[in-house]
Amino acid sequence: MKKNYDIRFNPKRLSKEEVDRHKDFDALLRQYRPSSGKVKPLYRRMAFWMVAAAAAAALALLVVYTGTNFNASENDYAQQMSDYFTTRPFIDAPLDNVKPTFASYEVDVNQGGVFEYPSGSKLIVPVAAFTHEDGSPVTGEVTIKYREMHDFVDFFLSGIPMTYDSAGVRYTLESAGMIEIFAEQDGQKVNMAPDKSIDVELVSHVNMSPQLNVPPGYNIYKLDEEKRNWVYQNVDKMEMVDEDRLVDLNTDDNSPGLIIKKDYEEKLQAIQVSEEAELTAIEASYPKPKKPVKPTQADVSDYVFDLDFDDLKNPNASGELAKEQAELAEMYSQYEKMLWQLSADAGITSEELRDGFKNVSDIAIKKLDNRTYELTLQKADQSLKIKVNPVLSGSDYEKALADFNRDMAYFNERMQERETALQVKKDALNEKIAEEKRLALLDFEEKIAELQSKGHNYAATEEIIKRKVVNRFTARGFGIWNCDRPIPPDMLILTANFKSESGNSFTNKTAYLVDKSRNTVYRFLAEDGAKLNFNRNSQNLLWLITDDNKIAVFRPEDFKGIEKDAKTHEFVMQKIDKEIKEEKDVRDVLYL
Amino acid sequence: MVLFPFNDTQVTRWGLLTQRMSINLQISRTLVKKEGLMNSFRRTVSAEAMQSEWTEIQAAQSDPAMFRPLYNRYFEQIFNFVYKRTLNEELCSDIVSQVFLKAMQRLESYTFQGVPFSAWLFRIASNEVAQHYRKTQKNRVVSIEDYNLNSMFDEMETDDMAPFRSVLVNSLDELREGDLEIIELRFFEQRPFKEVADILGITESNAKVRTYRVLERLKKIMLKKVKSE
Repeated sequence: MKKNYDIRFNPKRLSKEEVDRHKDFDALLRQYRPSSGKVKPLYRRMAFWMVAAAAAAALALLVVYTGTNFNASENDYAQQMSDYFTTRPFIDAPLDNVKPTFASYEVDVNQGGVFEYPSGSKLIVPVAAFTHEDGSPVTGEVTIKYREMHDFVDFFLSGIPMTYDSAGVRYTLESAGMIEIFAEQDGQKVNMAPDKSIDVELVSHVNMSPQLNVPPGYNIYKLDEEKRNWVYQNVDKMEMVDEDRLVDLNTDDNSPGLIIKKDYEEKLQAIQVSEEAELTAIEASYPKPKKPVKPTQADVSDYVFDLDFDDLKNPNASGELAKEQAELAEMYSQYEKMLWQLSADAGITSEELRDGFKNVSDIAIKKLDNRTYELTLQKADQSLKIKVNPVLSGSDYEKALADFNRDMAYFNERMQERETALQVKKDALNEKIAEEKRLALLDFEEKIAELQSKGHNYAATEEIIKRKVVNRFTARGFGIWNCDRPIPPDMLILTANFKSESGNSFTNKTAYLVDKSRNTVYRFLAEDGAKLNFNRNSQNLLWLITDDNKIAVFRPEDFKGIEKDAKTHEFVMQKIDKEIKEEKDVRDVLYL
Repeated sequence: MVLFPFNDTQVTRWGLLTQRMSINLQISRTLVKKEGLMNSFRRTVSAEAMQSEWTEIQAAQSDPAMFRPLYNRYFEQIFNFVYKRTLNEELCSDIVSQVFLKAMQRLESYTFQGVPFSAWLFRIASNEVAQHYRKTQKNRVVSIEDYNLNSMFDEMETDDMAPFRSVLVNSLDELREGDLEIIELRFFEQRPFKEVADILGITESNAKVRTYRVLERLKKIMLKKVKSE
């Protein structure tokens, strides 16, 4: 006889791991095509075509760009460099004998404290901020180890990469100060407690034009050594320190530069306004889940009473009131016994309620917030409004608490999902804003340069000056934190070879390049046929460490000697015959 | 109308409460016996969670990438649902991909009707499974765990299950697809009536009525088979 079903008893069950093997949302998203069966509203169709047109234009630009600037050898070198650095430690200190020095602060975990670094930076450590590896709280004293890195020598010696990969583009991070922070007890590292953080006020200097009186936009990144990348955390709340002002702005109304400066400031303001609006839109695009309300346990030492739901029910309720009543009905249906207590600001004492309103002729209830209801009691011609809270007791409370804990875990999980989803958009926005600010600055500088070419004297704008700032951020974990902004690679690309003065090639070596108008260091692979991006108009310095632990340099004046239209260049590195024993020796060589 | 104080006559009050609770429990037990609510106290999704989830769905309606949290949340449930109906990991994986792809494509038309989002996904999954078996003309797999049979036999009020077990497979085979599905959801997968109703897109009371009708039908088939053996 033909069977209709294939009935199987006690089949093999799949483990979570086996199920998870098939889970791949990104693959699904790639397959996703919006449903075509439904005619979309006109504005959506227009949006589609606008996006399509933009995509086509972007593609065309990409084709032009790749046709003129990119070729296979660049890709080969990029791959070669990537392979090389993959085999190197992610944090790759170049000189074993030059060790970083950390400041130490002893913290009583029960008191926390504020600690000041010689630079003027501050660390604000809360109480009970540390846990052991197993999650248990640390008691007693903890030693916080802290160091700051401010300039290209610091970055170079630390071996910390100053590149940031985002959406397939490699940016260099220009820093406004970097810190490394961790904590120990009896020589063992301890963790930061999950709900705690250390507030950091990092005093540093940033490069900027003397004409500016607003700080450039910087972000906060934390180094993820496992993922081998920086992870965006937040916007750097940077403030300028006024007394450090080096050049007064020319505010003379007759100054042509003033209009340019005002225009630039207005642009910055517009960018900031647009950034805030877009951030708000991003937040709204993924609404926050509703936070569950923790149930309140009945305090049996106080006055607890119960109310019959039939008495509270208003059969004529409509709209919001009907919704509130439905909620209340659900509460009553979930628990064996709904109880009530006077809220702290009830406006009446327990005794007054108990003695004066034990018998009432009518009751009405209205929700004020998630925990508070307004109860109207009618007794003869007396009417009383009091604030009450729903409370639970015994197994009801246990059940409600269990429900709350489950809902809270669910809420936390979804908040986490939300944060992760929003972070991608925020990162993209930050990059966009940074680019807009960069373009605004570029425009400003070009206009000033134009004025100069017409004979106006704006000598000060030719210089990049250091302005003292305080970077404020919250460190929610130990590690390396960086206040910085991503800068795209310079467009000038040279094919480079590196040789010693005696003609020997430097290959398969880490080399470093600094543009002195940027507070960063670019780490790359010195190899025959290396592709080097740099800004011809800046003060550039290139160096590497020789096999005998000396520094070989290619100085800014040497860069000036590179022919204007050159596509290739042989960098002859000058070895400095100075033994490198400590940081000062490095500074002596690189700051010559 | 009296406001019952809870603490001034605490002992008496607790006594009263206990008495009331015992009455409530009696009522519950009657309901359990009468309506088979044995497992239906398990809450599925709270009203708050559903409301909150609706905001996520709206976000995903305007940006498919925002579907990720919903996918992550329900992937395992949907996978297990389909797996029990296929018992083939790779086939199951393909069907589940189709389920989520269709969900994303149809999300624009989804409106919140006070039913968990998962129910909508289960409905799509159920249709996809049915479609697969229609196309391949193979017999649909029905997975049964031994220990889940007891609750079904309890509901049938059969004291001696042994003779029924031997005819169960042949009897189930005589059920229509829709009838078997309701037995599968309710007893083989131990889902509360509310969830069964949500998945089938019917009311909870309708789900109960249909379940008992199918149970009656199944019982008759089984009795007939036992007698003829």
